[in-house]
Amino acid sequence: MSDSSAKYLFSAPVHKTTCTYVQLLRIIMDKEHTRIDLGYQATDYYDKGGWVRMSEKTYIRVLPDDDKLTITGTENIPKGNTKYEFKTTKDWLYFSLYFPPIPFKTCKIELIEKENSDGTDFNFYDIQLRISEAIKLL
Amino acid sequence: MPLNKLAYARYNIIDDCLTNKRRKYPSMEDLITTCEEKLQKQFSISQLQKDIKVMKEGIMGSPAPIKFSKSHNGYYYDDPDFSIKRVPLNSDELEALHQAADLMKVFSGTRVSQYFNDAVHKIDTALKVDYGQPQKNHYPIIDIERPSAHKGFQYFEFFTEAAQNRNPVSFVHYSYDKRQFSAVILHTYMLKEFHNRWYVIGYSEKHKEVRTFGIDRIYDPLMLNRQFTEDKKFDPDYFLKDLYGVLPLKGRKKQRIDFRVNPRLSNYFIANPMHHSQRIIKYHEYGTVDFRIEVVPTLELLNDFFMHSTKLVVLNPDWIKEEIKMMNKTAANNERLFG
Repeated sequence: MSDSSAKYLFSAPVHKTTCTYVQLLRIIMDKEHTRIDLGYQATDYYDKGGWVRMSEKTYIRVLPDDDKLTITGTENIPKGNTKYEFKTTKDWLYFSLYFPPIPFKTCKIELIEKENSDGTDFNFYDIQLRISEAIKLL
Repeated sequence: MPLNKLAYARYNIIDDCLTNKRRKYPSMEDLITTCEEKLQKQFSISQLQKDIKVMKEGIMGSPAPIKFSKSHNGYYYDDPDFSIKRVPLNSDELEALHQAADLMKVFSGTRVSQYFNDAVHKIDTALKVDYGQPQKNHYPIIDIERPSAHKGFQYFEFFTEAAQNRNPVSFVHYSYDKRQFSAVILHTYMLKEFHNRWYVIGYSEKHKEVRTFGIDRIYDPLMLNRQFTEDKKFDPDYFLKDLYGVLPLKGRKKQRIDFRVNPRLSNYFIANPMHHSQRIIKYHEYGTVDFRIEVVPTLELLNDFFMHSTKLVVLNPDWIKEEIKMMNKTAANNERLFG
């Protein structure tokens, strides 16, 4: 099934998380990178919805080998110290994170912004990537 | 005399045959075969003879100098430079073309596809170069309500292509009501515009049914290499004819809805029926009019009734009357909260 130049989509992969406000939506894999699409809903827990940013140390861990692949880029969300400030508690943000490519095989991965998080970081565990569920992009 | 499309196509094919330098003197049989091949229809000798006669009489603007050569057993133009394509347009035809070009320009821009915009631009330029500017009205005389920078409208062409080529698509959708994202795989059946907003309608794998998505709430659509699903229950008539708007209210089937409109608004409703099923059921003495529509109720229908609620009352069904009452109550509360 695998074609080295092809792009594959995992739509709404099964996963576990403690993040309440951020949703893991899609994972797109090709030979260049691994892209993870997420959506954030601002909350009234913070004044005017608060802010978001991605830690430069964010990584994906490919199980069971424990290979760590550090974030290479982002789209629609700042990386590092810059913050994306919401204007209201009802705002939302769709964004993508880029990582190095991972082998195209059935596996589990983890998306970790910060180990031992207090719950405010974007951590996702047991993300199941089943080859049988991958959809080739045109 | 106006030309019918098929006759016009035949005249052009005959002209192509007569101007073909590589195969001179086409016979009657050649002309018939070429017409039949290009138009996928059968034609008789008498039909083509009639076409040649009509062309000779000058129906295309100038008499075609068609002759028959006995020695070559075929037809030819007596003037080797002649072609009906070089016959200039008369002033009526030219004016009609300029009007059509103006109309097409109105629909181009953000409204259709880049290919359409390019084609319109080419036609417009060709008209100006070949025939000059039209003599009057140097500004567009037609204007329509158009989406200028509506969010998501950049995907219009993408979804049109997906529906045409039957390619499923993946996109992220954000629900304004639920304040939630979802990853959707959609088998797009059609696009529908209502009140100047565009929606895509198709089979959603996630919801396992035909669903409607506002194009403004869609992020990052991707074309998929996957088998297209045709939902046998999909009924285009439901979306095109029965539904008022795009977002049907759950559990509400097509039904009769009667409403009364005051004299200030009734003429507007008579002149601009809100749905093709709209009928007048009663004229009241002082200009109030009762109307009936038969539609699948939608959120848009309730909103439109609410919008006119100072001049319109719903007579039945009761549940719509209640909904409008609730909307008015909410509006009054909003006035207190935000006013």
